Amino acid sequence: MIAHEAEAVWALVWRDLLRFSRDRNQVLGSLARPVLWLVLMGQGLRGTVGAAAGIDYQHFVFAGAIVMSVLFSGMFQSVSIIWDREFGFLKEILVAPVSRATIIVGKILSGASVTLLQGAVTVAFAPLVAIRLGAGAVAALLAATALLSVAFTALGVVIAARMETFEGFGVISNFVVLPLYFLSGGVFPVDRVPRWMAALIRLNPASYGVDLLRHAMAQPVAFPLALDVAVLVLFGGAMVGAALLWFRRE
Amino acid sequence: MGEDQDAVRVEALSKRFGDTVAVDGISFRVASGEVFGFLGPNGAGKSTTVKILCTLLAPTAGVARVAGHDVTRSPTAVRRALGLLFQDPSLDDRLTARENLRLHAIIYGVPPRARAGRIEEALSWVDLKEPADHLVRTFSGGMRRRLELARALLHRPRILFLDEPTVGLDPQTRRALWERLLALRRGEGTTIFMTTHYLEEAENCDRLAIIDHGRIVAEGTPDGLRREAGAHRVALATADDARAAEELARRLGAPPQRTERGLEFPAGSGERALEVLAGFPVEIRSFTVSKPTLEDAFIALTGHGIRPEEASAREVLRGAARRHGRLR
Repeated sequence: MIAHEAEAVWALVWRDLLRFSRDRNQVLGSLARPVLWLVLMGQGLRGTVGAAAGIDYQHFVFAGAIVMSVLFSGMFQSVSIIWDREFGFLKEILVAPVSRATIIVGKILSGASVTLLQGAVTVAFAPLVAIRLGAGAVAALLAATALLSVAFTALGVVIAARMETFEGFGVISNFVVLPLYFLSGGVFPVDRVPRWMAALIRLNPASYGVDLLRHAMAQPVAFPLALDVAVLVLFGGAMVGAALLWFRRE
Repeated sequence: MGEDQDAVRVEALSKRFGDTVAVDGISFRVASGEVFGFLGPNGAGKSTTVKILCTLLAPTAGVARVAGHDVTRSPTAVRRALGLLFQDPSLDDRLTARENLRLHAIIYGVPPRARAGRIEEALSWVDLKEPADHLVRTFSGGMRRRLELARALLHRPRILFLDEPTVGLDPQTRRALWERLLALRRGEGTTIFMTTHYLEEAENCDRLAIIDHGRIVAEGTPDGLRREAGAHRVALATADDARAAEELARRLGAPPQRTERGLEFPAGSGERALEVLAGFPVEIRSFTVSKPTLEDAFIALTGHGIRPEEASAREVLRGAARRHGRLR
């Protein structure tokens, strides 16, 4: 029984990886986005800003670029739930002899796998902006990206679960992705902002994601490592829990 | 025996959505190995019933058992026993035919060793061996439907549910699908439960339940239901319809109907029609007697015809997506 449920989760992950690999636009997007972010944003602002938090601005935005990839992809992956519902495939899964929890865990893990892949692509662009990473740092970055991928894909699933239409999802996800990104400490340092903004940054789970990635690259950080991990695990757990609760009612 | 042999057993089943009663206390049984049909117009409660039987919707009241399992208490056991051909397309069209089947085989618990063999078997059964590795988005409507049928049967369900299985298919594809279904019933003894608003399709069923406004108004074999509808219809064209109408009114005790082509009247049987027309004083140019159709039965039982309702905007979008194969 449990073997069957586990295999069903794997099958859902396999399906989404296959779909992703065939979607040329998505693959190109995942390659282009980090380049845009690192090169245009990094190089563009570097002239004015020069350095942030004591490091080269191009290096400073790197963690933010990974989080951006994860946020975008995590949201985008969960739209497929709306697609699957609208065009029938969800029913094929819902009448399968597996538990609802298996389906939702499969959906989150499959979205998170594609998201991790996109985050990894961004990591691979490190040399482009002259960031040198050892094997340990790369492993730490990928582990952190994996945690972020699960947490933010689960957030996307929770939002998608409530959405009836793609348009609605587009609006909401932009309202979620952009503030999460801008208030994450990925674009500008968190220590020179008004107090109200600092408070929002502290409330934003993405801030702890950016910070965790800075830990992995041995860059200046804002929070202790244990706090970053704890916040992300709790946030991710809460989102997975919320998704499970919703799906049980569907 | 008896009760446990029933593939489907429904008692006083109701489903309410807010103030709307979609299914209103229906009861029926489907015997193992039977082809059973729900005939009714769109919005009659057919799809809602299927969704309850497939554990996609919880009933408001009543009991439904599928393959001996209660749909609310043991949904997983029910799901294991059934195969479903949905009304709307439900394939992943970014995957190939073979990949769709493989995904289904895993999720529906086909034993690993049996998978490859069954997938090949299923592909050749529905004549999709050649395009098996093409993306489903390149498939025609008929190919998709065949693939969905193969998929629904991959895990060897005891009961196959078909919700409006041939909507949007051309007559030739529709016939081919039915040949396959009937062969399946002969070969494997699979129980088939279907909903339809096509009368000719309903003729394939062993037994039918006519459903209207959430209630079963009649149940029986297609022939039995036709008999309930009663009269044969006699249509005739004469040299002088006005005079013929007067004569018929006298002989029948009620005036015949005037139609574009002549006159029409009901008669209990073909013999009775001949009796009525014996020694008729007006020249008869043509004369046909037709057995009551299921449509006549439907009208007699419900007081209205089977009218397809206007498609909702969402259905139109889905239809467009299906035709262009562009959306998943």
